[in-house]
Amino acid sequence: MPTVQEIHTIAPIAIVLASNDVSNGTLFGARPNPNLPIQLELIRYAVDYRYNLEGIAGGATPSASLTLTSNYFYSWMGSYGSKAYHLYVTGGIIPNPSSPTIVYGLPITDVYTALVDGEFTLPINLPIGAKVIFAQKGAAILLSSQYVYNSPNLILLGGIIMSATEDLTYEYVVPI
Amino acid sequence: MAFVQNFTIAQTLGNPGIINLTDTSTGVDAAIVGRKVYLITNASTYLVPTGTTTSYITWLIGNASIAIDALKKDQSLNIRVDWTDAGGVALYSKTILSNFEMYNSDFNYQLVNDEANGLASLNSPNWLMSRMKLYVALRDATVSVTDMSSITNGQSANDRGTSLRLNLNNFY
Repeated sequence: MPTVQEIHTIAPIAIVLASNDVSNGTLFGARPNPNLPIQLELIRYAVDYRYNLEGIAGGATPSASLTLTSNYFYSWMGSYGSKAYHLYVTGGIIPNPSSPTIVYGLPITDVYTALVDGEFTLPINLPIGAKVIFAQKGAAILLSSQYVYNSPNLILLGGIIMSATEDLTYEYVVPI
Repeated sequence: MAFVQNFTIAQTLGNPGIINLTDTSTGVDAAIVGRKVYLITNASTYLVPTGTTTSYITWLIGNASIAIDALKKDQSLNIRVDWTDAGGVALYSKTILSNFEMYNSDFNYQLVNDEANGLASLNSPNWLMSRMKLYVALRDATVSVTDMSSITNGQSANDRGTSLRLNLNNFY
């Protein structure tokens, strides 16, 4: 069980995690308690008041009441509290500014129609840095190991070839 | 060194009715022999402890701080301190707008404490809305006074919170 000080620290993180998860519920099914982030904030505000009043940040020992309500608050956080505590203890992930992560835009979908039978080097010229993330030949979805994009061509691997007039639907992303 | 008037304000832990003032002025002015404290409400009336017949509270110059037992509920107050000469005339004056919300904040905390002790029903349909109303009243009072310097809005929010606190059986 985290200490009163730790619960105080992780509370805003847990609320953000809960809020994000409830937002995901819009796409992936409503969460059992969509009001949880609000309920957590209501309790946090009350406990935070007492935390400051008792001068815990200054090193004072929490009263029995504050310990009780803090533990109660932590139980309200549920799994979000556990995740927040983990983030707090491990420090989370700090990107290295000397090698920033490349950020891509939204996927773009396009279709290439083969001109002749037997094509496997498809002249698809994508923007610099583009990455093909999906390919579907006719109705068959290709594995990522079955194609490679080598500008300016998308090359089908493993003996896969196109038939004339057959469509290859592909999705790619471009660095922003 | 020239006299520069100043003071700080605090509420008392466990006794929200008491306001503590501490004189933090710097410098010296030999003409100062007394201090007067005015607690001015949003209605421009003066708040004083029970039994006080003047509109102000006398703060003896020999005391660095004073505890004033005047609050019966949460209030937004303009606190004015006058540093006076022998004739009672103000030589220096300073006013600080402050919000005192310990009554309602204590009540808000007590609700959580009761829940933690299993004394309150979380299944009440009023739980979320009533708690939210109190939360908004508390935040509103603080923001109105500290960010917007509005004693009127601050007191209005304090009174909303007080109404919830005094009629708890209807809301919680």
